[in-house]
Amino acid sequence: MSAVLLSLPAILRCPPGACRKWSTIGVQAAAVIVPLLVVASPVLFVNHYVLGQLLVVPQGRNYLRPASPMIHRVPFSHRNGIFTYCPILLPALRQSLITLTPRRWMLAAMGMALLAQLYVNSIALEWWAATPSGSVA
Amino acid sequence: MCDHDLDFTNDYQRPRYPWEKTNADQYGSGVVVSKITGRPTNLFPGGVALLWSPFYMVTTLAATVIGSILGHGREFSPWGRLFQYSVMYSGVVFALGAMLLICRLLAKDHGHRAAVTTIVIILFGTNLLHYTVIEPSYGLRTS
Repeated sequence: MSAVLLSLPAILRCPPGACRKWSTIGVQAAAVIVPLLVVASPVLFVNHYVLGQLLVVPQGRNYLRPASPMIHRVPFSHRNGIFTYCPILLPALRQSLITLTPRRWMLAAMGMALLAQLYVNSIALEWWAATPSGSVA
Repeated sequence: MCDHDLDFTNDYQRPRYPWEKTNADQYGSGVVVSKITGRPTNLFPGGVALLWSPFYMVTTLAATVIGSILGHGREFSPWGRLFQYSVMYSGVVFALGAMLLICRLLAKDHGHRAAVTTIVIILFGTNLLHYTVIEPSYGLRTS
C-alpha cells in the first residue's frame, strides 16, 4: 500500500493528454507495480523462508474471517474505533471528498484503497487491533 | 542482521535483560513450528524491521567505534538498550519526515499557514503523538 502511495506523484505529474497513450499508461502501471514489488519482495522472501509460503498470515489460518467483517465497528466502535478515538478525521474525510471530487479517477482509486483497508481491518480476529491503545488504522 | 539468518530459534531462547518486562518470545511463537520449513514462526511481518534497519546499521557502526574506544562491549549487545533506543527514536524521525512532507504538499495549494495548522491538528488530534512518544515500538507510526 505504501509503495502504491509513493508512486502517486509520478502518476499525478502525467499531463492529461499524454495519459491517453498506451505507452504512458504502461509507464504509469510500471510506476505502481515496480515499487510495489521492490518493497514487498523482502517481506515475501521472509514469509517463504520462515513460513514456507509467499502470501501467508503469520497469525494462522483462522486469524482472518472474510465472511464475518465488522465493517461498522472499525470506524465507530467505542473500543479503538477510528472516528471514536480521532473525531477530527470525520471533517478531514469530508474535506478530502470535496477536494478530490474534481479528480474522479483519483477519488475512485483512493476510495477503493480506503474501503479495501477498512475491509481487511474488519475481518481480523482482533478487529480492534488488540493491545494498541489508539485507533485501529 | 546480527547472526546473519532469519531463523528465530536462538533469538527466542536468549536470556531476558533485567530491564525488560517480558521475554523475547512473549507470544510463544518459538513453540509454533512451521510444518513446511521446520522453523519457529514469527507473528510479525518484516516490513517495520526493514524501515528500522538503517537506524540499526548506524547504531552498529557507532557502537563499534565507541566500543573500541571505551571498551563497553557488553552494553553494545544487539539486544541492549542502545539499539532499543535507536529503534524507538527512529519513530521521531519518521514522524517528523511525514509531517514535513505533508506540510510541503499542503502548502502548495493552501498556503503555509493552513499547512502548519493542519500539521498541528494531525499531531495533537490523532494518535500520532502517542505512538511517536509513548509507544514508539509499534509499527503504526512508520506506516
